[in-house]
Amino acid sequence: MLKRILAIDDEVGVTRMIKLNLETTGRYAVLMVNEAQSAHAAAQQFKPDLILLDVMMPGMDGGEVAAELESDPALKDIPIVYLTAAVTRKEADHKRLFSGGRRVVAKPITLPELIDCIEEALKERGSG
Amino acid sequence: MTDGHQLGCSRPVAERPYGLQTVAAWPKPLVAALCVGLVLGIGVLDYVTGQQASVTVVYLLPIALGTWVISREVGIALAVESVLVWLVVERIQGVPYAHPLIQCWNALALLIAFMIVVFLLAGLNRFQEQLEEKVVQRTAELSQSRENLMHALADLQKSHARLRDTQLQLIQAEKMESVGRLAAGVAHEVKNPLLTILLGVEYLERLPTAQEHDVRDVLHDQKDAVERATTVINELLDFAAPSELHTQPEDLNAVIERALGLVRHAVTEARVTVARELEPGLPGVPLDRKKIEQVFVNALMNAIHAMPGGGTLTVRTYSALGAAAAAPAAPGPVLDGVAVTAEIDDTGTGIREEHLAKVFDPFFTTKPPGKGTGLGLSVVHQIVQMHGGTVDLSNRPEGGARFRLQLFKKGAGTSC
Repeated sequence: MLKRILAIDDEVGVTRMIKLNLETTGRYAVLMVNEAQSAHAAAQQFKPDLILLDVMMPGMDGGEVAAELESDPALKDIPIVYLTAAVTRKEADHKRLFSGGRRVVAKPITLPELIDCIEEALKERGSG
Repeated sequence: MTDGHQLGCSRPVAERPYGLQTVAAWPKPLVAALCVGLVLGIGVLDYVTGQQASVTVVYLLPIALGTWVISREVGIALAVESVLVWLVVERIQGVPYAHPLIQCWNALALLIAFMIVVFLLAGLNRFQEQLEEKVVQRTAELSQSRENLMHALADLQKSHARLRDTQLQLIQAEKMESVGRLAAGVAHEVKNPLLTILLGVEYLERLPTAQEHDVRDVLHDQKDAVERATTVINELLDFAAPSELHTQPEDLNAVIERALGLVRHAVTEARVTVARELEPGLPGVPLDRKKIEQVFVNALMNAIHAMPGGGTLTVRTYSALGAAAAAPAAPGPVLDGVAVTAEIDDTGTGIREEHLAKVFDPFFTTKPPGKGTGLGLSVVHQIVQMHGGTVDLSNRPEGGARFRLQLFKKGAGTSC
């Protein structure tokens, strides 16, 4: 069964590449969202297993989107992974960076690294 | 002040007025004997001339000389001697009209006159001495004031130099902050397109056409370019936001070993031999392990890049205590309060003199375009400064360059 990933980023190119790459593996179904304000509705409809969430977006930042999603009882247990340009890869690796209990990964990230991160977060939710 | 007092107590001979210097320089007994002799000589003259008033006045000459050059007491003695000689001459001449009482009165009047001259001269002499003492004292005070002024001027010059340095540092810090802000902004904006390109290339790599030779090369080059751009961006971010320190006492040797582990591929590729001269049992110093590790990685990479044809990389550590015990030629100088020193020597071509002052400037690089951002050593400098340490890069007399890091006992102290 395909894992459902909701990719939220204001950069269309980023979400498109994530979708293309993840779906090519045959293990994931990805929904792209490029407006932070649409994230909640999209999540309610799509019911993702995991959310990839950009941090710095116009209108609403990643933290606000995450708070909105977590305020919804139906969505609050979905793991969120921040995908951000605000930290360096070294910082993210060194600290195994978390923010508010959410995993943080640094842009740019290679596909194998992204998949590892997604699988790890899904496993944590499964065991949690 | 001491000099002033000494000068005040004994008047310098050179300051005696009106050609008395020569006589004043003679021994006092000699001057006294001369004065006594002069009185006797004038007595003879007095006798020969029949006690002319013009000759009597000449008695004042030895009296004045004795008073001025030797002392008031000597002047009084000479005055008494002169009156006695004058009396003797008068008695020998046997002036017919002179009653003894009149003669005594004349002698007394003469003595009084001589005494007045003696006291006037002595007073004048004393006044001059006091005047000279005051001049000497004032001169000493002026000299002291001048010395104080010179000290104050030197202090002012030092303060001015410090102020100028601080101002330059402030300007530099402001520039760095601006560069940092700009870098952080640019870095963020560039990372998103980089991610798009990277994931795009990875997608294309999995397509069947990617297996064609040319396409594979193009994709590989593009991926490599993204990696390089990412490195630049990350260095910019490191430079822009070295963030806070998390310090705790650490073994510097262990940090260096970890850094050497991180650069081992570069060491092998560049055919560089690593020589370790790590002093065992270094005292622990408060430092942020990750950040100092980054300092060593940057410094080691710099040294490796300086030896493209291979060479020897010597990594040395020593404590203040160890340096004192070691052979003087081995380690470099240890500053006060330095807990540990680390040195990295390479056998490369060294650094051109005109570049030495700029090596820690951001964006300064001697590497070919695309091979270095010029931020590595700036980050090193920034991190070491945060630790309250010192860092310098110099040429070794025997060739190659030496990177030296010194960390102090107190360090940056607290975690931020």
